[in-house]
Amino acid sequence: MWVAFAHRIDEAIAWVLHVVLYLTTAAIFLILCVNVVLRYTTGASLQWASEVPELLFPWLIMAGVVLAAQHGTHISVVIVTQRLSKALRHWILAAGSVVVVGLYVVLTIAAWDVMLIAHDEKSPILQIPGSTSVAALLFGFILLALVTVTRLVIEWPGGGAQGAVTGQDELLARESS
Amino acid sequence: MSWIIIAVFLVAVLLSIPIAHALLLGAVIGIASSDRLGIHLAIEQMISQVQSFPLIAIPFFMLTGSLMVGGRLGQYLIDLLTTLMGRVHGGPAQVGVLSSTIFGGVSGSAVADASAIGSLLIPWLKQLGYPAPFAAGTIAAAATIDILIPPSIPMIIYALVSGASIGALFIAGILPGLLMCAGFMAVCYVQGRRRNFPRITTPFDWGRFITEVGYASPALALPVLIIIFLRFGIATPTEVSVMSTLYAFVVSWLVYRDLTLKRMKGAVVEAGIATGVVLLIIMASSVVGWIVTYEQLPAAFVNFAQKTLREPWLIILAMNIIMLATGMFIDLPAAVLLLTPMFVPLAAAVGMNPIQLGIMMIVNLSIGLYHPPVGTTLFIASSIARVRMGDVVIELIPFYFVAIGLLILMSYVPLLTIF
Repeated sequence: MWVAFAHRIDEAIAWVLHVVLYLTTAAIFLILCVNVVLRYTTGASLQWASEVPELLFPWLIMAGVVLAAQHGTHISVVIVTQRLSKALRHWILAAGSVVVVGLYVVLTIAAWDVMLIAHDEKSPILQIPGSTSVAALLFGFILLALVTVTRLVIEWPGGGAQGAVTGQDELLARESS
Repeated sequence: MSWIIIAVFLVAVLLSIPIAHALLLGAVIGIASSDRLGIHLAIEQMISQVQSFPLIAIPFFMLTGSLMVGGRLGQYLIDLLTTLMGRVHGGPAQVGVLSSTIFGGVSGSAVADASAIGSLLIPWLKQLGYPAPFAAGTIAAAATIDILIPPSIPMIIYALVSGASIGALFIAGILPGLLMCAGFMAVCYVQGRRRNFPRITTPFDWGRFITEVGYASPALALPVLIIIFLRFGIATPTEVSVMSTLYAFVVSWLVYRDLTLKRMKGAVVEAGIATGVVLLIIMASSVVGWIVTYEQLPAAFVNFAQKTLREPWLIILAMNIIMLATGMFIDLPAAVLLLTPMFVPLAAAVGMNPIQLGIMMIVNLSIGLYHPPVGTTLFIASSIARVRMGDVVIELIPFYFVAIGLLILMSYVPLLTIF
């Protein structure tokens, strides 16, 4: 039951992240393209052309960061853990996942405080609150903690995957396929 | 505080916690151990990185690479190079080196290069009769030429920290990249001749060659366009990255006619994930970098190096050794972010140009990409070839010699990088 639930959460997160990635990439791309074209055709440029991409970029990054965590592509060193017995390796990787969840919970709390402060700062042209960018980090940290938990449940022996995997294990699997 | 960060980072990395998380963990525990700093500092440092306009170039150069090489262009490029080089000793392996060099002009990531070129060429080289470890070693080493040929993501990161011009770095990387390409091709030639590796036996066909040049020319033109745009100040590096993506869209859609919505979405996701991997490391490294600077370690390091080593050539040698050692254990973007604040003042003290230092640093750290234990391109190429990393490392020995030889040249002959 827990595995199926973790799968559903994982898929829902992936869907949201894909949408964020498509929208932010398309918006930044269009704004910067139009700005260059305008500059060379009319001599004018959009004043907010660097402001909006700078505000959207953190959302693009955090969507990529969490998707990379789901795909197991964050680079890790497996030279030591690969030499351990399978059972011990599972426990060590699980302990590592718990530490990562703890790290992002701490960072989420800190990001919330910073977001409240940054809300009063406004961007120079469009007057968009500074909390917009911090919210992207907050969004990413929460999802990173969630994804680490769901991956742990899914990849635990008997949990549907072949066992706990590291980024490089998964990369190896993907590249070999 | 810095020692706590190093200790936590090392333990976390050995326990297979991803490097970016391990850096952040070290920084957060380091900050928590101090009674003068708060965790909010980590958030502020991370925010300052993700709001950087020049870094927006990273996902778009990656997207350009995915669009250009993910489609038919990759195969066209390899066909052209095979026609050109396949008949000489070690020719098919030289195709791998040349492909990476040209692919370097449409992408800025060695890892993307190793995946894209490796998955096309390693099975082909094995099928021709090349030993799998040699095929994997060639691709693992050649993929790193990608980050010397513009556009280069590590150069953008170095420019951000050092304040050097991205355009100047891009131009400075061309000659070292081409020299590395020539050196690696020479290794393939010598090995091919000595070990009698198979070659293409069909006669040269001019008609076919001209058609292939036509098909591959959009890829050959892109790096030239990027340099022209940057050199003449037509657009900023970020705008150039977006224009490159537009070019890739147009070429895939109208010339190769292989642009589908599915491929476009796949390329966006691929670029997004690759950006996430690099940017999380950048964000984490910026927190560590801030703490290191706060504790005045760069200044202490410069003083120590100047007092103990004295001679400029010895200081340059020491910088090279530290960079090589760091590149073997820390991922490239993180190493650039951690070493640049320490080495820029030291280089200035011995009269070294920051552009030369940047190229020297990237060549040094790129060796770590095909050297154990954290060699990403080595890992990718070995897994594609399905061979043990140890066997690939043996085949890589001559490539290491070439890279170190060129590194010495770049370190002591400024003309090669700041011509």
